[in-house]
Amino acid sequence: MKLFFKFFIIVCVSLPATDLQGQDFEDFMRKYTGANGKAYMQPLADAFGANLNSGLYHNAYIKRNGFQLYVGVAVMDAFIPESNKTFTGTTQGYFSPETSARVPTIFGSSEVVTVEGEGGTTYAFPGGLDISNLPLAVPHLTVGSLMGTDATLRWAAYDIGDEVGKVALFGWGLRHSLNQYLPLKPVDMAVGFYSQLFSVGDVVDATGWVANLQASYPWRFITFYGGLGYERSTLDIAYTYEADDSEVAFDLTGDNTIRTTLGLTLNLGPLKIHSDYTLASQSLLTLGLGVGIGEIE
Amino acid sequence: MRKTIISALALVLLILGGCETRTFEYVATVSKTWDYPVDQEGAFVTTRLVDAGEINDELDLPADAIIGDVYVEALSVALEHLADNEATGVMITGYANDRMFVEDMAVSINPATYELTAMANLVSAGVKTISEDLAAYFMTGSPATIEFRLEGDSHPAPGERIHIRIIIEMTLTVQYALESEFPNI
Repeated sequence: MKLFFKFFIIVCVSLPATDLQGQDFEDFMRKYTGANGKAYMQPLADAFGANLNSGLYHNAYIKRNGFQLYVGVAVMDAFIPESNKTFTGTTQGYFSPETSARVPTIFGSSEVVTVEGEGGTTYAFPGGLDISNLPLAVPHLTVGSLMGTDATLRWAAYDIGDEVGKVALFGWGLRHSLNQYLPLKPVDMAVGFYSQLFSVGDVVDATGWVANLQASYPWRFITFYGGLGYERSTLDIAYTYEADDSEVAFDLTGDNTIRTTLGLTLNLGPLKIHSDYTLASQSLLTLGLGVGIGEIE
Repeated sequence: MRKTIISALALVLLILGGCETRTFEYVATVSKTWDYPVDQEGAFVTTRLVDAGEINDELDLPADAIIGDVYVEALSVALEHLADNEATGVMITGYANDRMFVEDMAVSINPATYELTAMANLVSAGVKTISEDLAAYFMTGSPATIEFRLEGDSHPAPGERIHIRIIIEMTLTVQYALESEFPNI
């Protein structure tokens, strides 16, 4: 089970070089099994969910019929707001008197916070990772188009065996051009729906979906694009502490709902470099690189 | 195509930066429960030797953990009424390695049920000493044991027949640090 945490963190930050031990992450969580734990982990659900629902398009141009392909990698980087670095934790168990304090979330200060109780007792709240952003990199494929519709696929899977099992990401999406119905040129517009699943064995299940209205405007070799979306995401974690076999489960829902995205794509022939900023309760920056065939060039 | 994807991934890694060694602080909490059977009339003294190694084993700290502070988070008590007990309550004073950690704690006995409640009248200096002894054990291996001694009598009327099981639970938290290579984000 410890390996799960290692891999989860690695996947979250998209860096294979870290040697953060699985034990470390389990240690972050070992104090929290109740309401404190949910509040401690909530910012991870917000950031991870927002990342999952991003980097899904880099223009709104879809042919009515004809071959269109984009394959690339999108890197999302969710900025952790200061408000998501602390939460009001409340002492648990037989500690007396029950006391509340502002304490770190999973992204907050790495320093332990203590409160003094009666008769020399002390309650300690765990620290966090002390990070200000959470990146996520995913491969991405979009194929079109038929009757102004294209399909997007995100897929990655790796079986790390041991106690963890398979780490898998699967996402799909469909979008449909509005230009065939409305005289919008030179602006392209489309509506899209995307759904994503991310899992780590039986321990982590993350889901996200976003429905959006996309628009883009080509100017020379640049395409300005943006969109307005509605999104939902969940992050469910369930595992067993090895130390005492206790079951721990958190079912978290991301706070993000409405998102506004603005970005631009550099069309260097078939090479596409794009970046956008999403403004939402959990804002983030996306950077993408890929090859597009049949797209605006 | 494959080259492009590999280049893209390499770019991603460059953008995200390298790793750095960082120190993270953690806490581990464990609760230990001990029973003290009491079966006599009037004043009693009962002792229990607690092996610090057992606590260490239950904490299951990583081998490379750098131990920091040790805290007694809570001390709680429950009294189980046993057959022929006549006392309605007891007054207890507790010592850990001869240092008082709770003084004149009155606890009532419910013949029907029992449940742990936070100890009243904790003695701050004594509780801190438990923390210090355990911290010393985690860092130096000594003292290897802590003797918990409970002295008491029936309460409010002393000298009654007491047949109970005293259950003491101590919740401990150990603060420790680990160094890890972590992405520079």
